Amino acid sequence: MNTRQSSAYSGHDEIWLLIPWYANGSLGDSERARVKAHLQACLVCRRELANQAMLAKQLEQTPQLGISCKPSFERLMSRIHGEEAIKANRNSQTQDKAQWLENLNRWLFPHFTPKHLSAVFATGLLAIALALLFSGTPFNEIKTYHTVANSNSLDRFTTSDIRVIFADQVTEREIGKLIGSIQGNIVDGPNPAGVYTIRVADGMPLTQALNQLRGNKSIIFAEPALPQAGKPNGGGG
Amino acid sequence: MSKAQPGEPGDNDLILRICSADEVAFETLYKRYYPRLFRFVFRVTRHLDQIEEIINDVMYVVWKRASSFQPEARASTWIFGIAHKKCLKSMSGRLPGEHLELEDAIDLIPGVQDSGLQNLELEDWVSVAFSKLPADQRTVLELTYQQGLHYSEIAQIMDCPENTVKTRMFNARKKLKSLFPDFLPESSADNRGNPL
Repeated sequence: MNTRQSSAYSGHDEIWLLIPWYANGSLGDSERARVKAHLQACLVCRRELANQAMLAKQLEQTPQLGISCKPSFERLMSRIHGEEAIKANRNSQTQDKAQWLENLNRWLFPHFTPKHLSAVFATGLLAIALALLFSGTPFNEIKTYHTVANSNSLDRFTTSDIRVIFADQVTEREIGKLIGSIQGNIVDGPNPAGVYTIRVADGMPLTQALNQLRGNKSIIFAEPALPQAGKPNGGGG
Repeated sequence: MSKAQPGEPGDNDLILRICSADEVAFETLYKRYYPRLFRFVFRVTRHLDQIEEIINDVMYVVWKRASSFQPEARASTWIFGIAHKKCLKSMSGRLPGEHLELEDAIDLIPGVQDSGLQNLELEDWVSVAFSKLPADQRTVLELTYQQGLHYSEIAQIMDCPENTVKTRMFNARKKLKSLFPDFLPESSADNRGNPL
């Protein structure tokens, strides 16, 4: 063995590890030159290169998939649009609240000077005292019931719309996914009762969408937005 | 279409446009990566029933986090890095050995009928070989031979040292030789070769 052969062969273990990336053509110039020099001296590595080239060829020959990605893309966009609609709605509600607080602050600030503090403090104390005084007295509980549907708004909806209430712990992302799963879009909501109105995509039967939603634990209510023809308009919740 | 054709916008350009919520650019990138991601996710997870969900989770991150992409990096490294994480997450949620059989999965995947998917499973011996390897070794093989990536890129994608990538590939090669001695003749992965 001459010195040159010995030098090329000395890095055998290291070169052996690099052979797959020599075979796929991704090595940089210096690494490729080192592997090439070693291959001239090492029969075992040349055989291994042939094996790896064969493996690479087999992988390349794997049948190409003829799967259409269009339905998948539409589902993803439906999910993204659904989430964005929820976010926009929440932002709008937050802005409304912020505006209301700002107006209140604007009205209070000029009137709320230190000289009024004692009067405010006294009023507060009086309110607490009254509350304590009547705390033992049973009050008639006034419960406010909300209907899920507002009859004034029904004319905005179609027979492809579903009213949905999600469980409290469901995130925006999960809501987006669920809406995407029926290829739906949010057309209204959430209203103060947490009701979303979702329009199911053309081509998906309403019953199928309803069954799919009702089968999910994250959804506590799913009913058509409009009464279905031939069915009594029973309260669904 | 799986890679940018001459005259088409590159991946990085598309991601830049996605930062401005350009849905056309997003659709182009989605179509370009869908076949590559489909194959990658199938190879790594072996879960046919979750491929679409994983791909959409990956592309969802691309849409949402496009602005965090470093333009000097390769888009494929970034996207496959996300895909690798999603595959690991998907596999961690499953019981060992639990996967849907091909026949049961066909109805769940849109457009799969009459496609090459059955051939992928039934005629492709590589698929059989892959099923015998651990997920990390499958990932390295797939990224090397199907995606043509350098080991340093694979290390970035898998978030591990480069030597770990080489070791995984070494072990995968050794296992394949033991499984298919006729196809890949034993050439002594452990023995030193003889100089000419």
